[in-house]
Amino acid sequence: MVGKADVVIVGGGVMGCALAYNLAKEGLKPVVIERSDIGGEESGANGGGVRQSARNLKEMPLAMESVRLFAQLHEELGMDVEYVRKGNLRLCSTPEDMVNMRKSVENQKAVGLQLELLDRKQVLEINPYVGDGVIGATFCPTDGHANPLLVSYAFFKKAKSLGARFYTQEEVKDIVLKKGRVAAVVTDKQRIETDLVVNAAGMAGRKIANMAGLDFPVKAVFTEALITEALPPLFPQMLGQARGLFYGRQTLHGSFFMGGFVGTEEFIYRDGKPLFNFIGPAISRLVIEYLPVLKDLHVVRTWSGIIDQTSDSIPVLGLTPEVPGFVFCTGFSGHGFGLAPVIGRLMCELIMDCRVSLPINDFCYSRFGKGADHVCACKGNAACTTATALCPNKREWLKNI
Amino acid sequence: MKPNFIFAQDVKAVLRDGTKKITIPQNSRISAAALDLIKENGVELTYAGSLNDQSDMAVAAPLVEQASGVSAENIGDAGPEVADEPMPEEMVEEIARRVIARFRELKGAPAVASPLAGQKLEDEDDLVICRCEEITRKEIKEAIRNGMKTLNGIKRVTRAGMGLCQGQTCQRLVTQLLAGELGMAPAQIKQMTPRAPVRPVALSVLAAG
Repeated sequence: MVGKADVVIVGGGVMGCALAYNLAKEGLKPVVIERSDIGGEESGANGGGVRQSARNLKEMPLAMESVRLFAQLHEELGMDVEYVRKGNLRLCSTPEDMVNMRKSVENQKAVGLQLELLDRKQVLEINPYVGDGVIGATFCPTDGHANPLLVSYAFFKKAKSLGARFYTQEEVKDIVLKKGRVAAVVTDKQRIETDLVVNAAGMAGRKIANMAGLDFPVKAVFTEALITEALPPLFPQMLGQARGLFYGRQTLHGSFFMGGFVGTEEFIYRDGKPLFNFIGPAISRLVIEYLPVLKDLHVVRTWSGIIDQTSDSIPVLGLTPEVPGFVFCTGFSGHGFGLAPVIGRLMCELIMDCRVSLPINDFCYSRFGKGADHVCACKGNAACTTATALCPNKREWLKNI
Repeated sequence: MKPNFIFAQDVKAVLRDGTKKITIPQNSRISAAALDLIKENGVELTYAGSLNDQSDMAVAAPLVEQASGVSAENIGDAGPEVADEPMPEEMVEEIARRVIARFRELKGAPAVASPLAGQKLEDEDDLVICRCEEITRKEIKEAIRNGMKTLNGIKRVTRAGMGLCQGQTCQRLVTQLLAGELGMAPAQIKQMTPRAPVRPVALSVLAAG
């Protein structure tokens, strides 16, 4: 029972934990409510890619900063998160793939990403295990991967040691508004008075937004992944496929993580788990096709996860003028893990100072109502504003709670 | 309902202050040593609540428990309350006699050193719980104390249960550790989410559909 809190973060995934860590470092005592375990849902089921290549260009500045922050995580959090920065190969198997990748490489180079298009011979120099069908690939040397299970846990542990409070197996049931502003969060076990609630609930983000009278276009995409038995190190890169058919990596543990898409992912029924049994075999076929060396390895475990896919595949971040005190940090559309450290930092800056060091205007909540071409100039997300009435001297104001 | 235990020290306390009367609340379990002292010294028993067959059974329960080595929870579930017919009184007395006899026997006997007796607690913490991934008791306890309060959570941060056997060997042990740390019954702990395949399957076999 806490009664009162500076900030309540809904969702103890990697975003919630990263934000809690940053806020606790600034001296706040955030409360995190998680309905399952820390990093127990999307944050624990993803592939662990820390990549900049093939991202939406709007996310690129955040992704670049995130890569820098990932390198410091071990030291900062006092725990090894198995971060490996050895590049990302995005494999092409058809001439169309090559054409598309050439275009995409140019676009991404234009925003400052170090990225090149390789032919088969160059690919083999980097990864000699790719299959005969691979005719080329894009290669971004600063991409990499980390262990998603450990990243959430590391943020959680550090945040807790700095004074953040975590309540797991507890579900948020309601957000109480008073005069249109956030006043309290009600869970199935307690009521917490707060002025500020952060929606970092991933797939449940829509439900949480609904509680405050807000909504945004997000749907559930069901995906599966598998892990094999361990081998000695074969290749350190993160692998992907140009059309996004499969992605994978060898973990530091030695096992191979492989995920993939077959096209049926969007057809799940509400709150249910589909009984499709062909995603695992489909991933296996792709793995054998692209990495024939693994064909005799045994699959130890398969699992599924839900991607919170927004209508434009980029997250919703920042304050909302509609409901002062409600902060979005959700809708990462399946590629949020690699952004976690930078999102944690930016959301913390926003809450502490109403000022962010990297612009997050493109991710503002209002974009859905104003059309796809809308260029956001939302106050609060770009510069200091009184739009939320939280703002002037935010830090001082919070201390007086 | 959580049973209330009467131990030898409680009886000794009554003996020390000379009242020689002890109140047994309902749903109590009396340890064999305590019962021994009660009989030897003729301590008067007063039962809180009504005295019926059920509370007589409750007195007998700890004796049965000590004799067979099963835990208190198990006896509560499958014991006299559930049985169709109550246990005959002679049988209860017979069990009580056997327990008391054994207790006396042990009391005078020289202690037999257990093979683990010399080991320190640290060594016990080095016990490997998950054999596939070589995860020790200490690592699992640390994860629990750091806030992982479910089997899935422990699995994620320690890898216990992520190996080739998928927790088939260690799940019970981890459950016991978690139950001990949380002060819950093992039966109350939710199992790990089962993941396909049950046994490792070659990629080429899975690919064939």
